[in-house]
Amino acid sequence: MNLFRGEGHPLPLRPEKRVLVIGSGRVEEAAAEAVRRAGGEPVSLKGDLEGLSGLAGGFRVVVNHDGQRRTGRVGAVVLAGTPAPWPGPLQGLEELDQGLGLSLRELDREPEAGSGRTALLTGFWSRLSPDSFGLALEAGLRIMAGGGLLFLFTPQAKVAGPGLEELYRELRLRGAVVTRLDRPPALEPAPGKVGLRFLDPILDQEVRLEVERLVFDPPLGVPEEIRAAGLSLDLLAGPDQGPNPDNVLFPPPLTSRAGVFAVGRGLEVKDDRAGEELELLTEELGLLLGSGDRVQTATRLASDRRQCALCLTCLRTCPVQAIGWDSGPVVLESACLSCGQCAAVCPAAVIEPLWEEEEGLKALLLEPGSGRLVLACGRVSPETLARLPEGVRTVRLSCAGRVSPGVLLALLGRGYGRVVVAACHPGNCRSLTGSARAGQVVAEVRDWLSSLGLPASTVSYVPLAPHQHQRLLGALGAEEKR
Amino acid sequence: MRAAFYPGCTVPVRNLNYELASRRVAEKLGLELVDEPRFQCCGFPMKSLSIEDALTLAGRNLALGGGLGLDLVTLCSACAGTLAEAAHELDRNEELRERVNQRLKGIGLKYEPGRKVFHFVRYLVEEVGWERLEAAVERPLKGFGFVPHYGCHYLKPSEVMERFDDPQRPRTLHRLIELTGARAVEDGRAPGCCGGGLLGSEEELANLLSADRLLAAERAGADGLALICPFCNVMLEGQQKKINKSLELDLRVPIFFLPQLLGLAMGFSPSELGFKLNRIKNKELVEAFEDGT
Amino acid sequence: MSDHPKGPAVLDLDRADLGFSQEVVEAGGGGLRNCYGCGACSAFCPILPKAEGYDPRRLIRLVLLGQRELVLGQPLIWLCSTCYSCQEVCPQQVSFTEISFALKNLAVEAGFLPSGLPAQVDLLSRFGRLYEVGEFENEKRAKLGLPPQESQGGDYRSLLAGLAARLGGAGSRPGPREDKGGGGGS
Repeated sequence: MNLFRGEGHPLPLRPEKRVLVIGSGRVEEAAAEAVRRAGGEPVSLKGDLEGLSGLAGGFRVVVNHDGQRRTGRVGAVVLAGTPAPWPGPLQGLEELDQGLGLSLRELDREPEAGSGRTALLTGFWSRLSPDSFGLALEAGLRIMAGGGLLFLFTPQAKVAGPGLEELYRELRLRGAVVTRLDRPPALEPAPGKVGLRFLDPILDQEVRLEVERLVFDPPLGVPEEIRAAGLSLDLLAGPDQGPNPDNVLFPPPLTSRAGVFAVGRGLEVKDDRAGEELELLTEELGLLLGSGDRVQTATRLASDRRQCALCLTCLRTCPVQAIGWDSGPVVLESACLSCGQCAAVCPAAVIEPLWEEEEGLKALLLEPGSGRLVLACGRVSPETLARLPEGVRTVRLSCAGRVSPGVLLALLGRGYGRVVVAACHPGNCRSLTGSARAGQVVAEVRDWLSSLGLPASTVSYVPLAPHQHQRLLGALGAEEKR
Repeated sequence: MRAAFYPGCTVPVRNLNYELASRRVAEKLGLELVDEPRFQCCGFPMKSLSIEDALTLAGRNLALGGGLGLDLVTLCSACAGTLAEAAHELDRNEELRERVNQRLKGIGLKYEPGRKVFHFVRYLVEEVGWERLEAAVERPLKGFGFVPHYGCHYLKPSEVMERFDDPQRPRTLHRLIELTGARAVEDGRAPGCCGGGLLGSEEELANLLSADRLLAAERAGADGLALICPFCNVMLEGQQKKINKSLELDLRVPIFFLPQLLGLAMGFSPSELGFKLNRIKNKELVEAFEDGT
Repeated sequence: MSDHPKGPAVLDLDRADLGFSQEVVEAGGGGLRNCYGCGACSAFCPILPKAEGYDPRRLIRLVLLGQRELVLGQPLIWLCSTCYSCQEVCPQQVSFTEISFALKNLAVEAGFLPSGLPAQVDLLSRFGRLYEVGEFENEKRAKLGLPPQESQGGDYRSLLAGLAARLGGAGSRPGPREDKGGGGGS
């Protein structure tokens, strides 16, 4: 999903070509090169980053250098950290004999592995990703090519990447024994060898074995300076506190903030994967920094500036900071995700979404209604909605985050007896925070209803995957349409 | 249309009603079933002992069909499955074919690729065709409802059967029942296994599987089950009494072979279709169509 | 209660026969190693809910972990009704029904076999079919206007000679069926 849709962007009219690159090491150098290729001017950070305001293309940056505060303008920010390996033994492998354990990188440098048994542990200490799994699979095949027997242990098989399914299958066809465990196998004493013990999830039985050596993938960490920068930029952090939000719709180099990018993830895995990230960075920057005169058009949001209380709630709510300030709130249309959270939180109801789904919602609020109503976010599948019984009204929302307490109460006022908000799972929400917000709104309204002596079940929030129709039916207290 | 009639072990001895009805229906539809006295066991019982020996026996029968230059048609689902699978394997695997032909040489036969095997009902549906089937119906079985029992080997492995019907939600038997003018009754169960393959070694287990089907059919209020396989018949009809006894049930589900129902709709009388040999009767059905009324 | 032992409390892979999966592949279970343990086969198996301990996914795992004695010696592998439901839903073409047959073949070679089977070999060798068709049967057929049938053992006797010989040697060892006390696999 390209955060910047359309050609160029309308605001500001002349984007700032300077791009702030924060980081060090070879990733920083490579990122600077990528910026140049996009037609930008890389600028390195001297001092501490204190703040970044405004919109992508025209950020105002505040830097503190030795007590001196400087401000400047940049078009974009790139976090370019070179991952560093974690020091020390890994959890669970503390007892491992030095000579019998190898990291994947060390295996890389070693001549052909000999025969005998090898245990390969991947995904227990490092971030699980298709890339990291692919690396382990390739190593596994190399080990077996040397005539060895392979036992692969992993919490998950991440094969959603080009060529990975075939690799995984190849490994199995050659006779590797694959076991999925939540935690790495326990080490057991075994002189001259590595003894392992685990509870086989399929047999529900303890299994033990001895192998000649153990290979693992070492975790690589997010450099401290990048972590700190991410915090000060208000980025939604990934599970390892890295700057990429680990949401499948926001792949690297995108972060949760429009105009701020983060690269270096790929280096965890392989040098050429880092290359892919950098290529994407050049592409995104090229779009952002594209020049030309463009007139801002209001295609996503309209607002009545006269009613605006200038409270900046919308600005603070937007998950990708597409709302900025220029003598009043302005929207970076190309970054807007059409989630509607801004409209939902505006205390003066000043913001009017202009996208298609809004018509449906407006109609709902104007006409009387009755019975059960489902407000379904854009990613609930049509097949799921088709299974709802007759008599249940369904209206699409662009994102569940559009729902506010006011909207819910108004709908109850229109006469609906039961309102269900169907959304993506919060971790998977396409607007990052919309689903979670909808959950909070519904919880609040349920609270109010209870304190008024009304059944809380009148409104409910159902996070689901696109095809999980049973959950939705359950929330409606309904039977499937036959 | 001509096809080689492959009888199998069980039908010609234990299900004469099935054979009789099928031959009559075939004749009416203009399908000539050619008998080959040298056809013997398809090899299915041997598969557990030795896959390749079973394949060889199947290959022998396929080779005989080849000698006639005809495709094979059979009434037994297990035979259809075994022979079709064998043809599939022998066609694809050259080394295997050579080994098998080496052994068949000793009895003067050779398997040439390209022999097609049909279950009789599949032949009706695919080769005879719906139009001709519809045209042959003279008196619809109005007011009756039957549950179609697909069994296992009629549909699966779907790759071998060329997915002529959907293995999860099959329709061919439903459509045939409806073609006769009767209702195809849904008993709410997915097409299931009768357990026939286990009767010899695990009778109680096999009974449990069949019991499920019988219970569902009775609950659905059907006038009977329509079968297309002698093994299924052994279980669902032959074992009904034993099932009632050992599971303390009181089932009484009439059992028919689908060609018998087709034959009735085509104007044959019950006695022409071997109804006397059906052991669990549906009196209404028989009386309604006695002697051509 | 179970006639089908799980095996030892801890499986020791150093005592396992890790070449067993290759053996099964060569005996006809070609798709065995494709399995990644999703369990769809077990979900669709009609035997699993009716026979304690019977679980296709589990059996495959035991084979992959080299538990030769345990797998071949158990009556469990004989419970497959060959309905092919597992093969239809498998996302990786494991063909568990075929693996089942391969395991049965290997069990027979190792000397385990249900008592009814050698008798069937005998019947086929003599009559070419499981039910002899004699005068009596043909009379019944003739009454209904059906053409006569012939039992012919000849070809089958020679084609099955090898198998009969192999069974003759191994058949002396009592199979799991004979050791079982009590009724069927409930």
